[in-house]
Amino acid sequence: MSNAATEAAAPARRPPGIARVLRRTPARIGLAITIVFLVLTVAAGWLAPYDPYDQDLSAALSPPSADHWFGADQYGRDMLSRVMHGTRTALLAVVVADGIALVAGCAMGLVAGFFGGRVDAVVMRLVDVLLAFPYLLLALIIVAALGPGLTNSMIAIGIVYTPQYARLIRGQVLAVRNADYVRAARALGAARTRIMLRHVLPNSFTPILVMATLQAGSVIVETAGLSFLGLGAQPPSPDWGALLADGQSYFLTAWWIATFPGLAIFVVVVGFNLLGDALRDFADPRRTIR
Amino acid sequence: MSAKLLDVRDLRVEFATDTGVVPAVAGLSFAIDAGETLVIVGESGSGKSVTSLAIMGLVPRPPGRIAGGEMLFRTRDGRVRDLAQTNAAEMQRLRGAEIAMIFQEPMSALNPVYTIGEQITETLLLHERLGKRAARARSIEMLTLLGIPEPARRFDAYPHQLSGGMRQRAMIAMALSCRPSLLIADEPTTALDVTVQAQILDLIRRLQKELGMAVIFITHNLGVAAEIADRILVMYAGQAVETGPTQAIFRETRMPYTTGLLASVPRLGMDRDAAPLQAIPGNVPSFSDLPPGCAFAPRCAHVRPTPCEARRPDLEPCGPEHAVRCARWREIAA
Repeated sequence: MSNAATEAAAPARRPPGIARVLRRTPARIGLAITIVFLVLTVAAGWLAPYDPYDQDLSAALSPPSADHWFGADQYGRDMLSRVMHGTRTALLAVVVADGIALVAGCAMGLVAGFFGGRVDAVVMRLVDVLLAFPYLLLALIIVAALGPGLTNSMIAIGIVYTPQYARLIRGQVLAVRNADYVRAARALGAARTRIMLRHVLPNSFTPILVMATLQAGSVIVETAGLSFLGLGAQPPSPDWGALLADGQSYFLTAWWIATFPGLAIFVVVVGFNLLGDALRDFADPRRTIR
Repeated sequence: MSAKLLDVRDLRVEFATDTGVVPAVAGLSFAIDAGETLVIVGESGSGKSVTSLAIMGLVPRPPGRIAGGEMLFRTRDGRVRDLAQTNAAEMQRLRGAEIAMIFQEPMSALNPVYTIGEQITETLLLHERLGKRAARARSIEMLTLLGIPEPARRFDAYPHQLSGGMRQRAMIAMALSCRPSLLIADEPTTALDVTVQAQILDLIRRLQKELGMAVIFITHNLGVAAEIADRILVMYAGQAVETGPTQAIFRETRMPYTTGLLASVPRLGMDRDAAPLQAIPGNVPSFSDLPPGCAFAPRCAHVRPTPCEARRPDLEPCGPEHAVRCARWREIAA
């Protein structure tokens, strides 16, 4: 068996791909922003200089200063503390809304792609109907039906983003469904559902992770958008969208109230997008990474 | 009751296409005993792979369907059941446990996201009541049986870490883990190097002896067929055109098509200048416009308007266990 021994490659040495991807500056910036964002969601309570709900009317509308780095709003609440606490609703929105979209979208796309035929037609037409509406309009309709509030706005955004996941994973499944190892699993007596969940899903999943990261930024924007319109998080909770809406009426006299939450949204969205791009580079073997 | 392990009688498989119903297998009969090796030989499109899918109960439907015939299979508990009539759940139980199949492409027939150990254990756990530990032990035993060095380490290797030959061995280990009584091998060596090919053939022969299983080996390579077959079945356009013991097929070839296949194989020591290697003219006819007479007539050197083009010849005996589907075999042999 000596030639058989040389024939087999040495197993187990992880490809250093992820490390190579992270050596690039944009990827690092994205990762850094995401980490800061995540740290703030956990530690905003300790790191914020003030209670985000504490009113100090003597400081009302005070511009950025050593006491209030981001200034104070019309009730004298510290904007820095409010923006920091805003990370929590933002993360919640990402986890819940992106999560709903991912789970529902994967389920629909997987079933549609795997079973094909009539199932596929029904599911994908439903998806087409959802896709036919502009995102924010569809979200508005759903929130209007469910009633305003943070939870409902997250559900709405989740539904709005479902079709994209469904389409993406369906395409993946169509490619994987006829792979030889799927036929082999059938030939060795595995049941269809088992093949779908154990063989097809894991092999279709990589682009989904990339999409979830890229989508996180958009989800934050959309939830902030709903809050801005008064349909999401309600005052006085320090949601970024609500903060923006708050500051809007003071924009000419106290620019800082609206500017800093806006900047926060901008930075986090850029961070998620950079990270998502890096993950895509990692996941896609056709892109060469130096 | 038949004493055969698998007795296929007048099997018909049809596919519905845009241009009409296509009979991919049109009345095929053969039988195989326990421990025997039957090699099905034919060009691409002759229906040999569809036959194997039909036995496995894996003909995609729609568009395909088993239109007729019986496939009597003797299960381990001694009962004989017709695979053409068996329901999906029961077929699923039989697949892997009693009838297993290995495929042409070892590169893509293993799932890239699981270790080969996980994939072998999966088959075991599907069909047998085994603990994880016992399944692992059995899998490593299988890998050892297949001559994979350091089986305990290979158990945790991913497919991409193995060479083609090793992957084909892992594939065979998966298929044989439940000790099936019938193994269908669909061109298992085509994608491999010649040396590895020989190793795999040896291996299949040895395992067949050790496990006492019957093998249906599908190939278009007559060299492989000569190497491994007890009996050979030559298929053309969905029908058996010649069937018999390996010796008879090679020594007393009756069907002009088989003769053509044999003549088109290059041999060592052939005189290059004497004559060019002979090819069979033309292509396998499309199933949708088969000639009314002998399906091979348009490509046959011995064709005559009668009887060849008049009616489809029957499969008739021409020697001990040797049968041929040619209306003129007596004249041609003479």
